[in-house]
Amino acid sequence: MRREDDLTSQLPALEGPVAPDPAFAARLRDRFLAESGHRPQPQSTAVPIRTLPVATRPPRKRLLDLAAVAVLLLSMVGGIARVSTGGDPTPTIQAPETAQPAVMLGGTAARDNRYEGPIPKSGRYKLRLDTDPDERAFHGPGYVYEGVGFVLTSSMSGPFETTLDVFDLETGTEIWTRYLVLEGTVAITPDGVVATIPIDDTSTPESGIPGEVPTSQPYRVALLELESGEVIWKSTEGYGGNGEAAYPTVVVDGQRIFLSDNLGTLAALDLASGNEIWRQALDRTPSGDLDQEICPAGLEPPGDCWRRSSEPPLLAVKNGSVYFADPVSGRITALSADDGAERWSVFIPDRIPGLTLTPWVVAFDDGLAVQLFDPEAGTPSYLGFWRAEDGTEAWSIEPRLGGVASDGQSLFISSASADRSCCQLSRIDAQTGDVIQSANIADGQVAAYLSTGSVVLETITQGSSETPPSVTTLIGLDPQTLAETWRVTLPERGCGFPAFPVPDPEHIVCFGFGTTGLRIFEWSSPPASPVASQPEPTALPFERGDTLVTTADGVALRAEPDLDAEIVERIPEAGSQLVFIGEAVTGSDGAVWYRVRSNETALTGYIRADLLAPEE
Amino acid sequence: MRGSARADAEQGVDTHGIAALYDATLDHIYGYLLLRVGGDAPIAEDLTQETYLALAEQIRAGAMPPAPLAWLLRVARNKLIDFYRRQERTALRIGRWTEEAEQQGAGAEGIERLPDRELLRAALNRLPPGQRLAIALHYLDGLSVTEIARELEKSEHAVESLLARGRTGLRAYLIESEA
Repeated sequence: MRREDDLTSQLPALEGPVAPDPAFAARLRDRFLAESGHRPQPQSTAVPIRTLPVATRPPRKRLLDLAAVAVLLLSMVGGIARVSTGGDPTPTIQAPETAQPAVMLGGTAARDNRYEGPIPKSGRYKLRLDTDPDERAFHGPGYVYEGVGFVLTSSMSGPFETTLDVFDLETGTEIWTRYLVLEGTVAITPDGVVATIPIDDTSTPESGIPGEVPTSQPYRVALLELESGEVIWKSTEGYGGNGEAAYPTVVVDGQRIFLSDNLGTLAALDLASGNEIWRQALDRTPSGDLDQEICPAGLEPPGDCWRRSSEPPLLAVKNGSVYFADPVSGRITALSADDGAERWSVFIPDRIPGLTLTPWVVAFDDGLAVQLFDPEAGTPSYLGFWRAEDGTEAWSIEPRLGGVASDGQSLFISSASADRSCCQLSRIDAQTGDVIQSANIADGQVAAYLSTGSVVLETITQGSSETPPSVTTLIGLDPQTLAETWRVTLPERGCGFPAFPVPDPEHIVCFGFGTTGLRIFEWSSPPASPVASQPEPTALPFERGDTLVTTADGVALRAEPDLDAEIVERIPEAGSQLVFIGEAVTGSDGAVWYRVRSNETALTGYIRADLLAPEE
Repeated sequence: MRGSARADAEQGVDTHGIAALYDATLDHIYGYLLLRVGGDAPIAEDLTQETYLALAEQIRAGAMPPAPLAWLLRVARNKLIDFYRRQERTALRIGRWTEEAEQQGAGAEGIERLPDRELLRAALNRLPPGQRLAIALHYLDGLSVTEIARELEKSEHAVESLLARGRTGLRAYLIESEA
């Protein structure tokens, strides 16, 4: 008979490395590299394309969707819905080779418009697939995850409804759909979709009151199967639901879900189990210092104004802090992501008596950037940054903001004008608020930042009053130089809302609104001419104060970044010293220009980047 | 520089280095976890994934651990303990596991033909999760009863009981299999 001591002394002999399943090892390798900020190595084994079953739609109170059935039947016999011209076989849309990180989808979710994904190929695209819209309307944003399209959808008429609809991007068929709580947001993660669903998720949600902010019922947080939308778990706790719009926001950070609701509840849940880890009740008492009605330009109360109390709180998570920005109480509060303990809370009514918050709130390692929106002007007009450590406001700017995206370090911001005739795109250091560089852009808004190295602008050429917007153009800019590096033209009634990331370099997915449906465009032909004025991407701009030297004799120092601009001074000899004073811009000729000061004369102006070099 | 290349440079590590680190450590981490979860590959995979994603977060934050394998092993152990705690809270599931283990034990014909090491591994796998974890932490990871009690949030008496029952379970299994 063995003695116990003998047994336990033998246990260490069991230790040793064991190779896991190769497919698992390859999948985890790619994900590990991607999530640690590295590109997957080419020798990695690609993850097989996920094939998703077509799931039965959950019961819902609306007319049988004949169009969807037709699409489904067509897809089963190899057809697709309303295919555009061209008889080529329908290409397969390849899934990304790496598991994508969690992404937040929806109106009040914290979003930085940053996407992991490929760069589209320049050129003209043709419409490959256009599904019939039904009575609902996409309200976006759309998102492509492992070759599958996700979009939030609102009803156009009848009861207010919000659903998450999931589409096969090869056929345009709906794979599954599920009711969410009104205006709820979702987070798509490798483990499933985190969503807020009605307590009774088998029945149609209660109707709202037309013309009023819809009322809401309590709801639960749920993790849904990516493939089928089936519930993996749902929270035992209920949230929201006091008759006001719920606007539940979910943000996933690592293995935790953070949730805020209209009642001021802020909770952390475990992604694996749905168990609540902590919960805080934040005071959402309306501040007397704030206008209690929010009125768009030209309207007087009650008109189409809405109550401030119906404004949703915004949520963002980063670096161990959870931020709760509340347009009702006028407070921004930071809490510990670990246990919900409050770190600081600041009151900012002097910045927002007439303003409210936009859906754009982004947390950085060092703090929180929040856009404030002026309803009367119709544009966001204030961007502030509050420090993570103590809640002091580090900087603010007050341009008429267009769109915003972030690469995690900087903000890419376009300015806006009423007639959309101008604009500038600026890269701003999130820590300091300094403009690192800027470029003139004809028109457009920042639509996305692609981790593969593009700031994406979206422009729409308006059609006539009889025709809908006709052409959408997506323009990719190098984030270091802001020079254009690619351009995609989507003809034939345009795009609606482009979904980022693109599924592969030759396809663009769009979700339309109202009378348009899901559209998929494929690359058709190269641009008529190579992308114009495409300078070589420059190295990272020099530090302010660095000494540069000219690389040629007779270099012109100009008043503006333009070859036609006035020459302030002509610098006679190559090797003359200048000081970089901190601005790199893309001129109207597409070249990158640096703003410098001459050491000799102290005159300042612009010199093209290719005529300057760092001092040896 | 752009995109991830810049991030790499800021962190002082390159993609090849990160990939090599993964390749060099994966089998150790997976083997460590597999032994401690009773040979259940899906659970070991889940915990391995959690462990590496924790490292990815560190790297992304610019805080690459100076001794990555030791760091990974420590995190793997924490993940294992967290997993055990979650399971423990789900009493029904644990009960099912125990039942399964008992059923496996009852029907383990032919196991006496396994070599000793495999027999011991089978015996360890058969233990209920709590006993197996206590045995592994004590006899494989070298933690004292006090340290295990702190990690598992149990009394020292409860840990000693787990260890005693685990040892008895190992012996009983081997006696059965040698009979």
